[in-house]
Amino acid sequence: MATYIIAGVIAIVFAFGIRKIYRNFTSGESDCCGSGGCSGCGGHCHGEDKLK
Amino acid sequence: MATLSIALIGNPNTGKSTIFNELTGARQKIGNWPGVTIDKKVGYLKYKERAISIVDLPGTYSINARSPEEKIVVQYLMDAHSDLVVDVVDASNLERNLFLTVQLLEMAVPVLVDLNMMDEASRRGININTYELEKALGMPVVETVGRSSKSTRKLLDVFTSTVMKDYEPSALVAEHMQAVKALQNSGLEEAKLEEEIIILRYALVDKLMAQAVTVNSVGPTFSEKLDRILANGFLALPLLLLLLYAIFEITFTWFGKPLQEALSDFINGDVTDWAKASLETLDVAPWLQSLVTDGIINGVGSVISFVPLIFTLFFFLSFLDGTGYMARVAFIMDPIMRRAGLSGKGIMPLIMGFGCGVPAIMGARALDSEKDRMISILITPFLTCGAKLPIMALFAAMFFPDNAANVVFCMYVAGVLMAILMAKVLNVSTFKDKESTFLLELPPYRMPDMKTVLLETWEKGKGYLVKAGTIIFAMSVLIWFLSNYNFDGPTEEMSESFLAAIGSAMSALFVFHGFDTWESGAAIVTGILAKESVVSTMGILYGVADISTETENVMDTAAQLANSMGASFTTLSALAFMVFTQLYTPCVTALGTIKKETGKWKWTFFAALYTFAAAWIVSLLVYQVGRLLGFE
Repeated sequence: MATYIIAGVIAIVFAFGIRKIYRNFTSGESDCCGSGGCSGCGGHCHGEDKLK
Repeated sequence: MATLSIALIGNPNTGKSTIFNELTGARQKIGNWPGVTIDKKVGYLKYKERAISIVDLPGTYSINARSPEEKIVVQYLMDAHSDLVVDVVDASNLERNLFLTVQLLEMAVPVLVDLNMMDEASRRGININTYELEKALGMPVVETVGRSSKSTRKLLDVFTSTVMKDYEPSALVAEHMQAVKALQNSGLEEAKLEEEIIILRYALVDKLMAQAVTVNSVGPTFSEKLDRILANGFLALPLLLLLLYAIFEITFTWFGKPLQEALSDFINGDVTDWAKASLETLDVAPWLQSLVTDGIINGVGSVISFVPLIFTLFFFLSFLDGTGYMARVAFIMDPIMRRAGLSGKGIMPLIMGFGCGVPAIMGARALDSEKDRMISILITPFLTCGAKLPIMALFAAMFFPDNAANVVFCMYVAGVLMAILMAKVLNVSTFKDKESTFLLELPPYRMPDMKTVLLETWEKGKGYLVKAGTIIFAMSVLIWFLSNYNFDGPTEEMSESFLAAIGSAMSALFVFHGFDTWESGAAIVTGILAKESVVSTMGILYGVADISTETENVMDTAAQLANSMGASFTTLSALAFMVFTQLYTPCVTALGTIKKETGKWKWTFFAALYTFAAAWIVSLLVYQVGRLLGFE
C-alpha cells in the first residue's frame, strides 16, 4: 500500500515538474516571475497579472 | 465602493517602485540605478473605503515616444485616463525632473507632484518651498521620503482627499501653455517647432526654480568624493574586480562553503539514512526505495545543498545593487562595451544575467536600438546565472579545493569576457548598425534598505528551492529511470541504460576535450532542460548517498564525489567541462524567452547552436592548450 501511495505522490510531483518545464518554455518566463515581479532575479518579468 | 486609478510617473531612479511597494505591499524589484522598471506594473489597495489601483510606469526623462520606456508611458497616458497622475520627482535633482512635469501639464492630465528624496535634497543644501512650488504650478505638491511608510501614507491621504477639479493651472503655467499653443499654430516645421517648445519648457522650469528653490553651497557630496575613486580613472576597473573578488572570497571561503558542507552532510547522512530506514519499515518495493534514495534524494539533495551559496552570493549582489554601485559598473564598462559595439547601457541587462538569464533577456527591451537589443539577448547565455553556480562550485571544490573561490571567480570573469567577445563578433558580422548613444545618470550612493536586500535574497533562495522541488525533482526521477532501465527492462549496469546510450552519443563530440564519458554527455543533455540538472545528474550517476553512508570519516559532498569521479575527470578535463557548461546552450526556459523576445524561431535555434559551438571551441582550447603546457 505504501508503495502505491509514495509512487502516486512522486508521479504527481513529476507531472507537475514536467508541466513547469513545458510552461516555462512556452511562456518564456522563469520561476522567479511568480515571486512578486521577479524581484528575486532582477526584475523585468511580467508581474502585472500576478499582482492582481 | 468608490474607485480611484493612479499612475506613478517620473524620471528614472526617483523611487517610484519603492513608493509603489510601500503603497501596495508588492515586492517589485528595486534597484539604485536607472531603468529597473521597463514594464508597467499594477497594484491594488483599499484605503478609506476606496478601491485604489496604482500603476508603476517605467522611468522616463520626457514623453516624446522615442525610447521603449517613453512609448509605454505615452501609450498609457493616452489610453488609460487615470484619475490622478503622480509625478514622482527627485527633490535633489528638481530642475531636471521638472521638465517632465511641464510636459505633463501640457497634456492637461490631473497631476500631483510628489517631491521624493527630500532627505537627499536637504543633504545637498537644496531648500524647496513646497507652498511656493504648489502656488507656482497650480497643483498639489507632497513631500515624501520613499522608504518611510509614514510619508507614503501621507500620499494616500492626499489621493483620497484631493479634489483635483479645485486646482487650476497657475498664471505662470497658463501663460506657458498659451505660448506653446501659439507656437503649434505658427506653422513652423516640426524640428524647429520642437526646439522652440523645449526652450519654452526650460524657461518655465527656470521660473519655477527661481520662485520655489534656494540652494546653499555645501561642497562636493559624499557620492561625488567616492566617485572620484570608484568611477574615475585607471583605478575603477581594478577596484570593480577587487570588489567582486572579495564577494566571491567571502561567499566561497568564509560563509557559503561551510554552510553548504554542513547542509550537504545533513542531506547525505541523516536525511538519506532516515529515508532508507523509513522505506524499509514501510516495506516499500525495492525499485521505489532506489528511486527515492538514489534518484530523488541524490538529485534534488545535491542541488539543494548549494542554497547557502546562492543565498550568500546574492545577498552581497543585492546589497551592491542597493548602494548605487551597479550604475557605476555600467559607467566603468562603457569604454569596453563600446569597443564591442554596445553601449554601457548594455551592461545593465547583463548584470541581471548573474541572477537569471530570463529577466536579463527581457531587460534587453530597455536598450534603445534593435542591434543592441539583439546582441544583448544573444550574449546573455554566456553569463554565470544562479543555476550554473552549483556546477561551478561543485567542480571547483572537487578539483581545486585550495583555490575554489579563485576558480569560480575566474569562471564568472570568463563568462563576461566571452559575452563581450561575442558581442564584438556579432556586431561586425550579423548586426551592422550605427553606434548607440549612452546617457547615464549616476545615482547617489545610499545605504541599502536591509529589508529590501534580505527580501531579494530570500526571493532568490525561494525561487531556487521551488525549482528544486518541481523541475529538478522531475528531472531526477527521469534521470533515475533513464539510468536504471533499457529496452529489456531494469538493468543492473548503468552503462547499459537508456541514459548511457544518450550520454554516449553526446560524448562522441568531446573526444578531444578530455570528458568523453557517457556520464558527462548525459549531464550536458539534461543541463539543457535546467542547468542545475548537471549537478543532480552527477549526484545520481556517481551516487553521493551511497558513498556518504559507506564512508566513516565525515567528508563533504565534493570530496565524496571526487572519489567516485576521479576516474572520469582529470583536473584539466574538469576545467574544460566547467568552461563548456558555463558557456553552452541556455536552458529551455531561456530559449523560450529568446523566442518570445525576438519573435522568431530562427534566433532561438541560432542562440542554442552558436552558444554550443562557442562553448565547444573554447573548452577544446582550454583542454588542448592546457595539455601542451604540461597540465593534466
